[in-house]
Amino acid sequence: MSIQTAKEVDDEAAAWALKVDGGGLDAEPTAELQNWLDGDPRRGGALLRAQAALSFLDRARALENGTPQSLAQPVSRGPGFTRRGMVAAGAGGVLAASLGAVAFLAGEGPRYATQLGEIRKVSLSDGSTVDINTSSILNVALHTDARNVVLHRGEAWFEVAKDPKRPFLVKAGVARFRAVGTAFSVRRMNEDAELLVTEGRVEAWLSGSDGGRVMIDAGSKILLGPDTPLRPESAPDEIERSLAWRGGQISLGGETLLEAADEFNRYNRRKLLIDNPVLARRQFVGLFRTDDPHSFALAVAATSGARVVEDAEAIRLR
Amino acid sequence: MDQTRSEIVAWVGGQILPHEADLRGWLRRGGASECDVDDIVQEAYCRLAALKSVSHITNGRAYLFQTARNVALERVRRARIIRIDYATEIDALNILDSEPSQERVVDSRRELQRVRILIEALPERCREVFKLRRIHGLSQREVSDLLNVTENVVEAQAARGLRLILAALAGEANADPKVSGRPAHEHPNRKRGR
Repeated sequence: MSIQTAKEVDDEAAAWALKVDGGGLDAEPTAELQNWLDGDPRRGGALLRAQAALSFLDRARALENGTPQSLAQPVSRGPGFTRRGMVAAGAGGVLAASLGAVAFLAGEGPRYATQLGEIRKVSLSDGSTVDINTSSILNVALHTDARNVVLHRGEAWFEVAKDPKRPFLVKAGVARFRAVGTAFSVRRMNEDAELLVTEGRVEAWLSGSDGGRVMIDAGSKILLGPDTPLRPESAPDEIERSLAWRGGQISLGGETLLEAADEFNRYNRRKLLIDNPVLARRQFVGLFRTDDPHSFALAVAATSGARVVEDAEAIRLR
Repeated sequence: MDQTRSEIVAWVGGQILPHEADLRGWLRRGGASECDVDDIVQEAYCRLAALKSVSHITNGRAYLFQTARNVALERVRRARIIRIDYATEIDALNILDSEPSQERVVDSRRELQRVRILIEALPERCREVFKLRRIHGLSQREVSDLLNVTENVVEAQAARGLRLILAALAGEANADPKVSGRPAHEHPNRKRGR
């Protein structure tokens, strides 16, 4: 027997309510009714509700007779973001990619760094913006014929102003990403770099490899590293959730508690630790502030029966 | 002391059922999906059905909301994937916020008006049968003779009428502005009830 929906149960209950009504509510249920009631625990409640509706109507007859806060900040240029860097690079007159190491460093442009837990929005002079996630370091060099970003550590989301004459290139380890006008994020993870494209297309390849290049469309992502296949994956919902940090939030969509803790620990000095292996594998859905692992832990405890133990160093769930 | 079934049914009809639509709105505000709401409400009625007496309950509405909240939280905890934000929302739902305005509680004329609207909204055949049976108190046989249809038709139409009224009681956006003023998202199948 298949399981009935709530509505199917209600509909059968309505028919029973009318039948019983004729025979009197306080009589013992007939064998047939009892059989129906025993078939599904929900039926008793549904019958009561249907009978209550009749009673409600009869009563009428009697009466008739008698945000997260926005983290967007105004332009916040790092020290040394002047024309000097651009002129120096412009004097090179060639693409940064073809420059030697020393020359490249000279043309790396200003450096932006965020502290643990800091999320920062930077407006660039070409009209592009960069949202920089926690514990990240990057350099941005805007040349006359190219825009070069080096992501040394962490994660950033780029909203690139359209300029076909100046391709926007992001280096992250051995990974390379090129866009003209589009929006995407790059996260460095040791040797690998993950690209999430939110708008337009981005070209991705590995430096020093003849493995070819691949175009990644909006809603797709790719993990690029020495040992990863050049295979993009469509995951629009996941990408949207992954970028919740731009609003200072962590969006969980069925991640395990262990994965969730790793995510919180990217932003906070006081670490979230899961001492219970069964609990660590349970999956969670929800939207949380990156800077409030305490509330998250309490919510986990309240919904899963776990216990929270805290000290100055860590918040433990067990 | 145990109460009779008819006493309990009358109490549920007078003190619980009129608040069901508000309860559903309240649960949706807490982030429950339409499917969750149906299941939670059904389970809440099951718990009421298990009561031998309701004489200890002074405020039916608050009791209903409290019961539904307990059901919702237990469901969240049992789920394979725990929706924390939903659980905290449900947990944070304030029973006091759910209180209706005072005049709504005492105004029996409005209650009568509400029943009239429910019955008048039924399809014609169904309404006719339903009125003769429930308002005028005719038996199934009498209605069958009067309308010159079989008793099976009378029975089927009466059941249909009750189903539609139950659906309307569940779905109607009623006079409580705290409920009806909220955006009505995520429930495309409620339009008919309005």
